[in-house]
Order: sequence, then structure tokens, then C-alpha cells
Amino acid sequence: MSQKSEYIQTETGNKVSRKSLIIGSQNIILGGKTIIQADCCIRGDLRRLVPQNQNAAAVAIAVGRYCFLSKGCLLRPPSKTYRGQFSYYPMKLGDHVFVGEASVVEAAVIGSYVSIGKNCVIGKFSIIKDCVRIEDGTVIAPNSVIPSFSSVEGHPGVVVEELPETAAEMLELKELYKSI
Amino acid sequence: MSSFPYIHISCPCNEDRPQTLTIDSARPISPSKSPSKYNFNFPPDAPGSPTKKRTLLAGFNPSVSFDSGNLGLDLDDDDELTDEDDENNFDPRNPRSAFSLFPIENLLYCEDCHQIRCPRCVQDEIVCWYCPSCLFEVPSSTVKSDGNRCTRNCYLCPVCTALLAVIPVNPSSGHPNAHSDHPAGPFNLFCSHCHWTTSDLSPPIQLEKPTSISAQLSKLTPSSRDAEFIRLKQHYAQQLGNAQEDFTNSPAALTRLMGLYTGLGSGTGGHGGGRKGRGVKKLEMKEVDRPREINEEQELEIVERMAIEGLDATTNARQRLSQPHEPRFLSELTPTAVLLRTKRSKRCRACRHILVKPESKVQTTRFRIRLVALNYIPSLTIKRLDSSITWNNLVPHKTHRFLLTVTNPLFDPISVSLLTPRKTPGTAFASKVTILCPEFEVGANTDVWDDALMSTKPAAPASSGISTPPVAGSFTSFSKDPKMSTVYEQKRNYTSVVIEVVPPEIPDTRETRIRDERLLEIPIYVRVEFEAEVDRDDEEGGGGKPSHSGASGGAVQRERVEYSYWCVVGVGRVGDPVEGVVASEPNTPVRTPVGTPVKAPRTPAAMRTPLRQVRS
Amino acid sequence: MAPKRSGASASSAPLPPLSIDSTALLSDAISFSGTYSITIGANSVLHPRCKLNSTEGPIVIGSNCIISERTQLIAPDIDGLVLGNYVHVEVNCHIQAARIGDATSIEVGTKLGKGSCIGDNCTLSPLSTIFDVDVLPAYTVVYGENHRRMDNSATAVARNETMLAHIDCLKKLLLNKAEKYTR
Repeated sequence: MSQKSEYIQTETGNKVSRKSLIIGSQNIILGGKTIIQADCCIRGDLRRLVPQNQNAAAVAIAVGRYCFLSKGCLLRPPSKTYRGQFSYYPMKLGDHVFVGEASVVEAAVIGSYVSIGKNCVIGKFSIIKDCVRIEDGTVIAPNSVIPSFSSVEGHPGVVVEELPETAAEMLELKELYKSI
Repeated sequence: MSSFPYIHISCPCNEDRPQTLTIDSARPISPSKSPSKYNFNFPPDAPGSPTKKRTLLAGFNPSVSFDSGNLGLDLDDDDELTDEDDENNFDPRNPRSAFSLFPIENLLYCEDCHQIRCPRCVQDEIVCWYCPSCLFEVPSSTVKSDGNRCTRNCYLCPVCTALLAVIPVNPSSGHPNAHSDHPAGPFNLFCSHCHWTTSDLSPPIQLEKPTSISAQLSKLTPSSRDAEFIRLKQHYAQQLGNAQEDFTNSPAALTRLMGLYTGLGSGTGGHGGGRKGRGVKKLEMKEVDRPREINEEQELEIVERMAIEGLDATTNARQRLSQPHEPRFLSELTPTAVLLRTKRSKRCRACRHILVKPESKVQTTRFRIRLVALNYIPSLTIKRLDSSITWNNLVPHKTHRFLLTVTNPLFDPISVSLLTPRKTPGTAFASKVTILCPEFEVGANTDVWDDALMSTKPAAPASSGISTPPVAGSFTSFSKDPKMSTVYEQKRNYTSVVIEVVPPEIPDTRETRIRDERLLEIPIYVRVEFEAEVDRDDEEGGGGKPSHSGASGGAVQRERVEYSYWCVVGVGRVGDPVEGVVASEPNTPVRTPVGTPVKAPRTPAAMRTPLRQVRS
Repeated sequence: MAPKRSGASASSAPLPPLSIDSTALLSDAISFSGTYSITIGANSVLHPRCKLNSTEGPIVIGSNCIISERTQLIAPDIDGLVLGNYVHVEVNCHIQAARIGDATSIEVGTKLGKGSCIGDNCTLSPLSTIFDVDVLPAYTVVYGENHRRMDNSATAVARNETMLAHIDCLKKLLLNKAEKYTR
């Protein structure tokens, strides 16, 4: 397969497409065994501004293990004005997070075993707990909280179904990692 | 149903199946008397005896090629048998079937009944209530009085259902001292999705504090309706003659109330002498007033208002129904408090054993008990052998080959028999289905370490006492050769076989009829046999996987276990007939000759079969 | 996803005539194409990889605007595409509008049809679509499945303040490569 050469593999097993766009890589942590496909964009440059003490770690985006970022998706840290200070805030993804094609993620926290479909928009500062499936084309409104074992759909997204107890098995991405 | 392929398993609670186990499953109330812990499929008098025959009698007509030897060669008696088959075969198109079909992920497994349990045959018990937005647990004592809603600060936009945020009404006034922790009020609730705010209400609502919103809102929202509700509640409480007792909370009162509705008055039902008198009294209860009359004046007012403000000012059905009093105008929509969610444990309805018990902490996703079918019964998956097949557009008269993979979750090797009606039942447009190797073995779900070892050498059937079926001798591991009666691929704990499907031409009835005739669903009867260690002194033990409980001091012995279930494979939709692919002779299905590698680029069916007039 | 990587890196294609205010911030790898003029107002920020196409007409971006990455601004016709002041265009938008009014927010993945006119203070929620030649009056909110309502929230002042703070923040985070395009 020609895809073999498409990915650069890091020592922790991350496979990053040469055609992806990673800005501010010094502010991005990948947990290992994460796949970043072509045309993905990760905005690590939009980090938190800490004017007083620079020793605070300037991690903009932390991604866990076995995550899969499909073609053309975008991870962008959320931003807001807090106490009169406008700033970007870090974004954290757990393990086994799948982000579908052309989806835009501006969440604050995404748990583990989360599957985000194609063409979704995950609003600023939304929190998605573990074991959640977001259907294709969903728009999650800013500041939303999606509890565990939910399936979400709509504009804006609402919980339409409860996932069964096997959600973690259904949403784990180890096999997907092996396939690339 | 839109994405193919899918595999749904029929829960045995679908009662009118002759081979379902509901009658048997009632028996394990005294499981120790049962001769075999696992042998639930057959009457207790035949534990180890030739059960195969019984299975066939119960579920199948033997003409369905159970014997792999004469595969597809004795098709001549097809037609006369299909009618008979229909009675015993599982019909996925039967309206009843829809209620029992679930993906394996949604099924549970009762270790005591040795039975699949679907959401219909478990009983839910609430472990805790919590708000899905702030994720705080709500004590059960306040759930009912708060109307199952969050009483903290979680409100949804009445217009678009997004979560509302608190923003100061006058941000510029708060700006000079914006660095303080508490911006100056008053505050609005603001929807960041559709920009609805509480000032859209008439009259507008402004909050004084950014916290304890529920308390503030309950004071501010116009509550003439709520007042009426309280009036009604008081009236009926008085009628009950016991105003102090919160009648909705008393189980006895609830029973009486239910008795009223079901026509079994509790007065005659003998629920206990003491309550008898009260029950009779309730039957004479007076309504608070006459049925609500239409107030013509009010109605005219509404019509007039609609004429002035236009349709854009009215609510849509979803907005209206999410509000308690179904307002007609957008300006009457009030923020809706978030409905609570529950964590629930699940019990088997037959034996009352707990199948699922989540940890009670709201934010954890762990389970204390979790008996899911995925860990007990082999799961099936289906793949295309030929990537030119499009699931949504199967070609009539063409032989489609799929790879059916059976994965074994158990720690014992299993032997599997797959049976399928030769023609899909329940439709006038039956597709021909052949499983090329219906009997095979699947290795045990051993450790991952074993897997690493196994991958270096060919997978040999594990050394167990299983009587080798006729096909076992011809196992060729990693074979890419879909020869008849051999497995296609065999790895650690899964085995793949080839299934051939020839759909007929089917008129497109999707728009004219309720059911989609072109939907191609194949029922497959899966029968599993294995030898398991059974520790009979320790019936209740285990808790883990079924065959893993052995090796303790008790009388460990190996027992033959057998079970079976129906599943339905949604292979796809049959498309329009393709020019050149024509119906072959009914007795000679289009088939590549024995030994033709399937991975090789296949000549189009049109090239192989002589051109013939397409039947129209 | 047209593989148009002309931009600054590939200096082979001639850039359209640019008129960029000295206080504007232009990130790396912005794709300019076309022959009509492109004007970018004071204090506006263009994220990396946004695309501006002036093949059919001029593009004018007002002051204090934010144009996010992967967004395409395409002038629909000879009259061009004019963005007012304080316009925030989020990522993945496809804009062929004729006019976008002041203080309008266009959120992720919005498509504005050819020649559409968006009024002042509008908000277009994510993935909304405006058809060709459609006109949105001022203070319209497009939400949900392309539903519309009027914005009475009186948050415009606060929004513009936030925009200024946002631009200040971006100026600290992004590198200004404006001179690369102006030469």
C-alpha cells in the first residue's frame, strides 16, 4: 500500500500523515498509537496566554492513546473571555476517540471511547463524557455536557438514545489502529 | 437499518418460535435438578443423547442442507419444501420478529437461565438519578417532588434545546470591575446557539444573582397554571379524605388507583379489610369542576394575536410539547429545567438474578456486574469477498459472495453449525442462500500471548474431546480458497466461511408498500456445541466467563454443552436488474468452479453466463 | 478541498492586487487568487490556510474582522464581496455572498450562496446554509435546521468587545506574515 509511506511514525506509535497540518506542535501532546490522517489540522498555536508566570505548562491540545483523527478534521482549542481576559483554553481528548471526516472539535474535554461522526461541529467548551457516540452531522452547542452512554444527534445535538453496557467494546479503536 | 451489513440476534423471548427456550428457561428455578447446567435447549431426559436430531425437528426441516456433502446439489425439491420451511424458519419479515431482533451489543446473558436476555426480558431498577448536564446526583426523595428535573442551574433553551448560560444584562457596566469574581447584575439566561434570552419573554425576566436560578425562576415565572395545578391537587387530596397523606407516594394508594383504572375496584379486590372503606369512598370521588369549556373570548384573542404577530411568533410542535402548558406563542416559552437521567441495574425477569449493576457514582462508567451476551455467545460478522459488491445495490441473479466470520468469546473451542433456509422466507421474492461450509470449529478465546504463539503456526483445533465433524479433516488454515465445504480462514478464536447469495429481480416497492421487498435479510440458525468444565458443587460460583469457573476443589468434569439461536443478517438491498446478468437455470446456480481463487479478478458475470433474455 | 496551494509559499502564481492595512494580521499560507483587488481593513486577522478568490470580482474585508482557517471567500461577481466591520467568519465556511453586514458572526461550516446578502448583527449557527441571492435582514439568527429568528439579546456591544479582545489575543499568538504578501 502506498499509505505506508504516507504516515510518519513516532516512537510512541503515533502515525501522522505527511499531508496533515499541525501548527504549534510544541503545545500538542499525543498519547501514543494515535492516527492523524491527511488534511487534519491541529491548532496547537492557539494556546493559553499566561502573561504572569510562564512556568505553567502551555499545553494547548492533549490527545490520549488510540485516537483516530479522520481526513480533514480539525482540533481547535476553545476560547472565551473570563474575568475580563480573553484567552484560549486547553483541550483534552481521552483514549479511543474517533473524530470523523471534516468534523470540527472545539470541546474542552472529550472522554474515552467517544466516536464523533462525519461533518460534526463540537461547540466551544463542550464536555463529552466517556462512551458517547455522536452521529454524523451533529452540531453540539457551546458549553454543552453530554453524559456517558449517550448517542447524540441533531442541530443542536440532543441525546436520542442510551448506549448499551457494551459501549466501550463497541467504540474501542485498537483494531482500527492496526489496520493503518 | 440504513447501513449495511448488520447482524441482529433474535432473543428467545420471541415466544412463538418452537425452538425458543422460554418454556425451558422457566425450569432453571431449580437449576441443581437440571442434569446439565448448559443443556437448556432440550428436555432434561436427553442430556447427552443425540440432540442433533431434536434440534432439527424443533427448528428445521432436514432438507436445509445441514449435511455439507450434498451442498447445493439437490436443489430439485426446493419448491415443495419452501412452504413447509416457512413454518419453522425464522422469518425476519414477520412483524413479531422486529421486537426480538437486537444487535449482539444490546443483549445480555443470564448465567442462571443460560439464556440470552434482550431489553424486553430484563427488568430495570434505578440505582440513582442524576442531572445529565451538571452531573450531580439527585436524591430519590426529591426526584418526584421536583418533577424529575434538575433544581440547580441547568436550563435548556425553549426555542432550540441548547443549554442556557447566565450572562450579565449590561456587560459594559460590569466592565470596569470585570476582574472581580462577581460581575454586576442583573442577569439573563442566554442561549449561545440561537441567542434566545429571558428578555424575549413577555414580560421579560431578569435574574438578580447568577446562582440558584431555579429558586429565582420559580418566583418570577407567571404561574397561574401552577396555581391551578395546586388547587386541583388539594381538591383531590381532600376527596381522598386524608389530606396529610401524599397519596401519590403511598404504594397502597397507587394500587387502589390502578385498580380504579383497570376496573378491578380495590374494594372488591380484597386488598385488606382496613382499606376497603377508603377504596369505596374514592370511587365516589367528585371531579373538581365540569370539563373545561372553551372560552370563546380567550380563543378569539389568540386568533387575533396570531393575525397580528404572524406565524413566526407561534411555537412549533416540538417547542410546544416540551413545555408543561403547551403555549402557542414564542414569547410564552419559559426555560425548561433539564430532565434527569438514571443509572439502572438490570435483572433477569425469569430468575430475578442481576445481569447489570453499574457503580453508583454518577461519573464512572464501570460496572459491578455486567453479563453481556458479547462475552458468552459467538458473534457473527459479515464482509464482502468481492469489493465490487455495493451493499445498497445488489445485482439480481448475480452470485454475491460474502465472508461470514464467527468469533468465539469462550475459553473453550466450539463447534458451530450454521443453517439457513435455502430460500429467504417470508417473501414472494426469495433469494437463494448457500453457506459453503456450514459446520466448522472455532478456536478458544485464549490469551493474547497464545495468539502471538498461534500466529506463527497454523491454527490446529485445540485438543479437546470434540467429535470431529466430517469437515474437520479438510481444514486448511489460512486458506484463501473458497472451496466448498472448507473454511475460508481460521485464526485464534474466529473462523470465516463463505456464504453465497443470489437475489432475484424484485420490483421496487419501497414507496408503495410499508415493507421494503428489496431488503435482503438472511435468517441463520446458529448452533454451538462445546465441552465445558462444569463445577457442579459450585453452581452459583463463577461470575466470570462460564467455562472459567472450574479448577476449584469441587467435582470438576467436562460436559457437553449445546445451545442455539437465530440471527438475521441484513446483507443489503437488491438493486435494479443489470443488463446482461440474467437468471440462470434454477438447478444450476451460478458458481465458480471448485478451486477457483476468489481473490483473483473475477470476470463479470455477464461474460461467464450465456446471454439470455431477461425475464420481465 | 481544491488543492490550491498557490498562496505565499508558491510565488509562481501572481498575487491579485492587495491593499492590506498596516495593522492587519495575515498568517502564513493564505491563498490569494484571482485578478481583482483584495482589500483588508485595519486590525483584521486572517488565520493560516484561508482562501480568498477574487477571480470574479473584488473582495473587501472591513476592520476588526476574523477570518478563520480553511474558509473560502469567493467574490460572486463584478460587484465583489464586501465584509463589514467586526465580522467573524469561523472555520470551514464557504462564502460567495455579496455583502456581509457589520458585527455578524458566521459559525463553523456555514455556506453562503452566490450573491446572498447578510445584514448587520446576524448570527449563523454552525452548518447553516443560505441560498443564492437570499437576503437576511439585520439581527437575524439562523439556528437549528435553518430556522430563523430575530436576535433580541442585546449582546452586540459585548460581542464586539469580545471580538477586540480576541483579535488582541490572536496578535500575541499568531505570527504576522503580512509583508510576505505585500512584498
